Amino acid sequence: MLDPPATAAAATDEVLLQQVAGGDRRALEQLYDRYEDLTYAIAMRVLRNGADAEDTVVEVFWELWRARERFDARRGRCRTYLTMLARSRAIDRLRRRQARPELHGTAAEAPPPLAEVASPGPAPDQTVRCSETKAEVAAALAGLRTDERAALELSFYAGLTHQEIAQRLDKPLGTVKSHIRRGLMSLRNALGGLQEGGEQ
Amino acid sequence: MMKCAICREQLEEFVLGQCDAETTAVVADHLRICPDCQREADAWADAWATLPDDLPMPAKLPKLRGRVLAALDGPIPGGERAELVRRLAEANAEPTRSATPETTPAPSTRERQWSLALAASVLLALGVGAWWSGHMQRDARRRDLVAEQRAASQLAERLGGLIRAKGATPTTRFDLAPVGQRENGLVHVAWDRAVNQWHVFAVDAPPAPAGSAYCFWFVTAAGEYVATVLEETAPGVMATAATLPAKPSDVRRAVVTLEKLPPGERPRGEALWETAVVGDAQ
Repeated sequence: MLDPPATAAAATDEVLLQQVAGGDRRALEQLYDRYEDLTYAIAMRVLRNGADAEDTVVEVFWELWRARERFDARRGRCRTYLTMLARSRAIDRLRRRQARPELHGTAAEAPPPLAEVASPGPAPDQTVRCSETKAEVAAALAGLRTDERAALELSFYAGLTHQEIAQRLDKPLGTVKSHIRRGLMSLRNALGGLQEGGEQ
Repeated sequence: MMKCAICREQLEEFVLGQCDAETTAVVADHLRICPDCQREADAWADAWATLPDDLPMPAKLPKLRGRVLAALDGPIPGGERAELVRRLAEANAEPTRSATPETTPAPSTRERQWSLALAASVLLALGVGAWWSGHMQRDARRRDLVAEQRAASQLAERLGGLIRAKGATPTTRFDLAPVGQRENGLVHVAWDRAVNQWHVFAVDAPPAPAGSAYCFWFVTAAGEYVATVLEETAPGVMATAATLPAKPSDVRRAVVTLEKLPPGERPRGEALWETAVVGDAQ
């Protein structure tokens, strides 16, 4: 197999997305190679089933390819887009399967889903985050309080609403909202600060 | 008009697609006109997307890579017809809340989360129906078309049911019949009143030649034409979900033509499918 050109290999996600929008399959292959681990890990975390997780990854990249002309690379980060897409499709699959293992225990109590199959390694986003940001994100994730993390994970990986999380954790809705906002805020800060907006 | 402060209270849930339909629509409307809140929504999405950073990463999956790349040009992956129909039926029983990821890059589609989920479900079934029919012998084609039309009609019923269940609002839907001696193809149209959006599906349509596209036209009571271009979403399936300046009560006729791109203000191509439309008839 021929190696991709050096310039393409170093392309940013945004450039690759623009190439994908133009129908460049090699650019999509590069994006796949960058985000295979991430999308699979998310699907596995949600579904806890290797075959279903693989099906989800196939669906995610099929959808990226089919919707390529509608993706606006100037808006939103590719990593965010694929993360949300993988999560969304995995949760869709989870609901179809009508199996919600997260409901049987708090996310914080749940066993590591990839323990049997995973090889611990760095997150696959070296190309989109500088090392300082990565370190700050890692620190922010590590610094989440247990109740904040539980609320965040139930929302993200189990697809529960704030109200459902409040019921699940037997906490007031306001407390759950506070946990989620505080946890997310620390992650936002790690990514580089807040945008201040005006009032309409 | 929603205030920014109220909008921002919803954004953490909104970007995950976990707001109810009404809140989703209101927030989406606000984001379309408020770049500051849109940036705020993007920032929350970015924050959520850091959460998987500390997941243990899997070992390499070489077989998966081949599977992903092989699936790109095929129909939507992983779907036998029965599975897709089952998915639609399950969606009917319990509508999904998860976000359609177009929400992140395209603010104009945020309000379409629900509609796109419905459209995707229908497309899944219709697309595989078209794929299946491609394997049929021509002698069986007419019989298959009848079955396909029946399946599409059943899907349309479910689509209407989904929309009604969600918004308790009437939903207009109708089919366009092939014009002349054409035997193949079916065009189904549904209007989702809750988000004021038209869904058009053309099933078993021959591929459009290069530089051309299928165009769906409404002829309004005033004699004006309103058009949208159908995009191929799966082999043999053209579709669109569009907000058009026409409600069912405005429409008198619907036509699909094959047009050279870009289409003009009026159809130039021959009518391939068409029907008369009577107001808000179901």
